[in-house]
Amino acid sequence: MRRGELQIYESVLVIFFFILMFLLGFIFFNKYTVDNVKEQALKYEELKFQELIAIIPSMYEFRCSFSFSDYECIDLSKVWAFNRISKDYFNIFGYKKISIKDVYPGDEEEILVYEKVPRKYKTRRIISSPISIYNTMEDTYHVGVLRIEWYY
Amino acid sequence: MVGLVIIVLILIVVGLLFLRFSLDSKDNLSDKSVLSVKANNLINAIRLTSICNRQMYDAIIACCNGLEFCSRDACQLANEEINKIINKSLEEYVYFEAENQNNLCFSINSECQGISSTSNFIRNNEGEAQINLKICR
Repeated sequence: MRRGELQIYESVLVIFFFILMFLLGFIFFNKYTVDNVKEQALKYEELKFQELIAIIPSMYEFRCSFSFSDYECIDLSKVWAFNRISKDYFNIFGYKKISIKDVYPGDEEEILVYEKVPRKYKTRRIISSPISIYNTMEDTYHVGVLRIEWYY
Repeated sequence: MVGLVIIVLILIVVGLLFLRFSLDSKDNLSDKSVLSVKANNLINAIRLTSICNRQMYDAIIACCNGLEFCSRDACQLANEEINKIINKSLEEYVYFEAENQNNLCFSINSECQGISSTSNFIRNNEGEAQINLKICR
């Protein structure tokens, strides 16, 4: 094979390789960008989900409201009342199940706050946090666990 | 020959780019903030819990003053009941302490590295105290 022919083959190989690398790079970059956008959207949703353990106890729909007091607790009578209108809160909570379990000194009774479970879902995430719950009937404070399940 | 050298160089650059994308660091900032919320919620719940027609912070202050509470040693009572609350409400290992003017009244579990709650100052007619809680990592 002559030197000229060899250089032509080499040039063809390099051009072919460049095209291949360009295509692979484009596919890889596109996939990376799409995955990144999806991941960012999921992270944002997850952050909103995690924030619920701080937001729910401070919502006026649930929080204790006494005159001249800064008690941070969940009023059980408000929770029971909320349960009747909870369907109207789909825009805020979405596909979630929110419940409160009375763990001390109670008998671990679970009180459902909100429930909207989709027919089909891929994953379920759970987050929980201790909270103070106020029983209006007994005028006592218990320790509860706020449990939030997210379906997506 | 020059073309083949260029190919090798490109392969190295592509390899480095792939490493850069695949080793993208993931922060755990949200985990920290969740633990911080949990720590603050728990210390608030402990503080308010009803015990013997009064509240837990009354028992803690009685302990720091060396008094009895509910016809029992206040420190022993507070220690037992707070331990139950911690065990029932969180899976994580938790350190809790109550102090009065830098004197430790009692503590639960051993000191550790972790996410602390904000310091809570509690006060009633008998005196005052400070309670702190840490979720260990």
